Amino acid sequence: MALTATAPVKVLIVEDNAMDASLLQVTLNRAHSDPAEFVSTGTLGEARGLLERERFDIVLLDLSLPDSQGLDTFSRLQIHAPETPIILLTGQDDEALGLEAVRAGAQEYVVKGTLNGKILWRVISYAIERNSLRRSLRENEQRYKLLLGAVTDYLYNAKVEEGRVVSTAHGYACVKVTGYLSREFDRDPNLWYRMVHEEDRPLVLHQAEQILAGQARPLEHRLIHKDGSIRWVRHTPVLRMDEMHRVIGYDGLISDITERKQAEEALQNAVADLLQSQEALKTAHLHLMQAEKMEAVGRMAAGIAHEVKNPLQILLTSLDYFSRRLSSEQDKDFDEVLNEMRKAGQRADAIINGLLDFTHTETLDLKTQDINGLIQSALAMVRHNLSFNHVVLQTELATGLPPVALDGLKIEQLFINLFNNAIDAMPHGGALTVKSRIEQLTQTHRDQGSRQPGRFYAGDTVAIVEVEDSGGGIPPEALHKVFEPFFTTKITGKGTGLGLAIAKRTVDLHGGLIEIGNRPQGGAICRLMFNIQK
Amino acid sequence: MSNDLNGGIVLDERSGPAVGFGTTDRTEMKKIKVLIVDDEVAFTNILKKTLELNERYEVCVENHPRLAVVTAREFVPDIVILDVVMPGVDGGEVQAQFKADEVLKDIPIIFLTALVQHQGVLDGSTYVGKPVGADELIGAIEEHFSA
Repeated sequence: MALTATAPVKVLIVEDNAMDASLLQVTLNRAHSDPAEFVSTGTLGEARGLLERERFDIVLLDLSLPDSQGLDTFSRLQIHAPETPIILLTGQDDEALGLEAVRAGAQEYVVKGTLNGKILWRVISYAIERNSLRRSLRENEQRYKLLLGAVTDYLYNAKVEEGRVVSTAHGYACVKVTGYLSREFDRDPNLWYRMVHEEDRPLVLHQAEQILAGQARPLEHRLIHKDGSIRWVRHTPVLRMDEMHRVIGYDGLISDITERKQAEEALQNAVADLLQSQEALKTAHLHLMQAEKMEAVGRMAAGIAHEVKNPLQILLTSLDYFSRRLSSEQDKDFDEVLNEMRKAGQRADAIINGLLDFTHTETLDLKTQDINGLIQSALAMVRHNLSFNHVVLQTELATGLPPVALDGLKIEQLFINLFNNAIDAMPHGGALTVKSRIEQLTQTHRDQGSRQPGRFYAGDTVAIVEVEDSGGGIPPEALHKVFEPFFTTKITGKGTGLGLAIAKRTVDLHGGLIEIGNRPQGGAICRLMFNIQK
Repeated sequence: MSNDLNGGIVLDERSGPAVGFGTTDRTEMKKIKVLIVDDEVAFTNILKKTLELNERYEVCVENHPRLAVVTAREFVPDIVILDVVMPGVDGGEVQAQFKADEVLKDIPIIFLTALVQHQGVLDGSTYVGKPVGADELIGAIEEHFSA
C-alpha cells in the first residue's frame, strides 16, 4: 500500500561500508519507477538520532557497525523506532543471525551480495504492509480491551431441569465484576452463593427460590469480589419456559452498581448530616427560648422578691417586738408560738432567696481550682451538722487530681448543699461518703432526660466527685423530678425545693454533668462530672 | 447587686441581743440617736417601738425621703437607717444629699433594702438585706459604736 501512495517511500540505510550503501541505493533506484527517498548513515548512534527526528517507512540495517555488533545492533535500534519495520542486511556467513533477529521482531533479512532490485523492493513493500497490518491489529486489540474494561455488566444463563439448575455459563465481563472466570463457576457449583455478602445471602436464596418457582424479580445485593472488595450488583433474571410453562432455564443480567450505591450512600450521609445540624439548630433554638424564659422569670422573681420581702420585714420586726415585750412574762407558750412564726417568716424568705439564686442569670468567675480543696472546705462548713446528726464521714479523695476551671464559691456552695442533703437523708445517723477521682470515659454520657447531645464523650478525661449517703434513698418515681424547682421529698418546711435545681444550674453553667441515683446497697448517690482542660 | 456583696464582709450572727435592756450601765451612757428613712410606715413605726424598748436608742422616723435632710438637720442622728427603693427620691440620692451637707456628711448610713440577700459592705456603706431580725440590725448599728 505504501508503494501505491504518491508520497515517496522513505528509506534509511544503516551501513558502514559506503560502497555497499551506495550500491544498495543504486540497485533499488533502478528497479523502482516511483520516487523513493534515501538517507544513509554508517553508525548506530547517528541512525538513532535520525529515527528520533524523522519518520522512515523502512530501515535497512547492517548488523556490523563500528559502534555496535550483532543482534545487539538490531535491538538497540528497534527501541528507538518500535513502529518502523526493519530489514536486516547480513553477510553470507551469518544467515543464522538474521533468522534470530527475525524471531526477535525484525521484518526480514536479506543476504548482501545476492540482492536483486525487484526482489528487494518486494521484500520492502511486504515488510511495510505487514507492519502496518500489525499496527492496526494492535490498535484494535487496545480499543477492545478499553471497551471491555468499561463494561460493568455481564450476562449469564442457567439451564434448569426438574426444578434444579444443571449448568450455567457466564459472560466474559463476569471476571470484571466478580473477579472469577466463567470456568471457576463451572468448577465450583457453590461459588455463585459463596461470593454473596453474608448479610445478603437470605435475600439471594429467596430470589433463587422465586426464580425456580417461576417468579423473576430483580434484586440488588452485595457480593465479595475475588480481590476482597465489596461490590453492589443488580441481578435481573429473565425466565425461559417451555410450552407447559415449566421453567427450563433463565438468563440473568448482573450489573455492577457499586458506584451508584456509593453515591446513594454519600447522599444519605449528606441528608443525615443535614438532619443532624437541623436538630442541633432546633436544640439551640430551644435553649435560647429557655434562656429568654429564665430571664423573664428572673425579672419577675426579683420584682416579687422585693414586694414580698417588705411585708415580711414588717412581720419579723413585729415578732421581735412582741418577743421582747413578752419574754419578760416568762410564758413559754408565747415564746414557742412566736418562735414558730419567726421560723415561718424565715422559711418564706429562704424560698424567695432560692428563687432569686435559681433565676439569676449568672456568670461564672472561673479560676483553676483544686477540687479536693473545695470538698475539704465545704466539709468544714458542715462538720457541726455531721456530728449533730451522728453521721460518720468517709472520704476517698484521689491524689494528683489536675486543677479544673471552676467558680470556687459556687462549687463550694454546691458541695455544702449536697452534703447537707445527704445528712438530711440520714435522720438516724449513717455514713456520708465523698469520693473524687479522675477517669477516662468508656461511653458517652448524656444529661438525664435532656434533649441536648451528651457533653461527655467516650475517651474524654473527666474529674468525678461522688457524694453518697446511707439513708433511705430516693423513691424511684421521684428520681426523674429531683432537679425540678420546688420538688422536694423533705417534710414540709425542711427544704425550699430549690437546692438541687440550683445545683443543676450551677453545674450546667460549668458545662458539667450532675446525676442522682440510688446505690445498690441502699442510700442515694450524686455524681458530678467536670471536664479536665487539656 | 447581691452578687457584688458576696465577697463583702459578713457580720457575725449574734446569738442574743447585742445590748441588754434597761441595765443601769447602759442607761448611764449617752443615747444613740437613730434616724430611720423608709416609706413603709408600718415598718418604721414598729422598728421604732422595737429599738426604743432598749433605752440606749432614741429613734426618729422620716417616711418622706425628700424631707430626710431637713429632718436629719433638726434631729442630728448618730446613725441613719436608709431604705433604697422609695418613691421620688431613692436611698442613693438621699445619701448624696447627706454627703454634700457640712453637718451631716460624716454620719454613718446603713442601707436596709430588699434588693440584697446578704449583709455586707459596698463602697464603704453597710448593706443589710430585708427581712432582718432586730438583733441583727442592732448588731449592725453597734458595729459603728464599738470601741
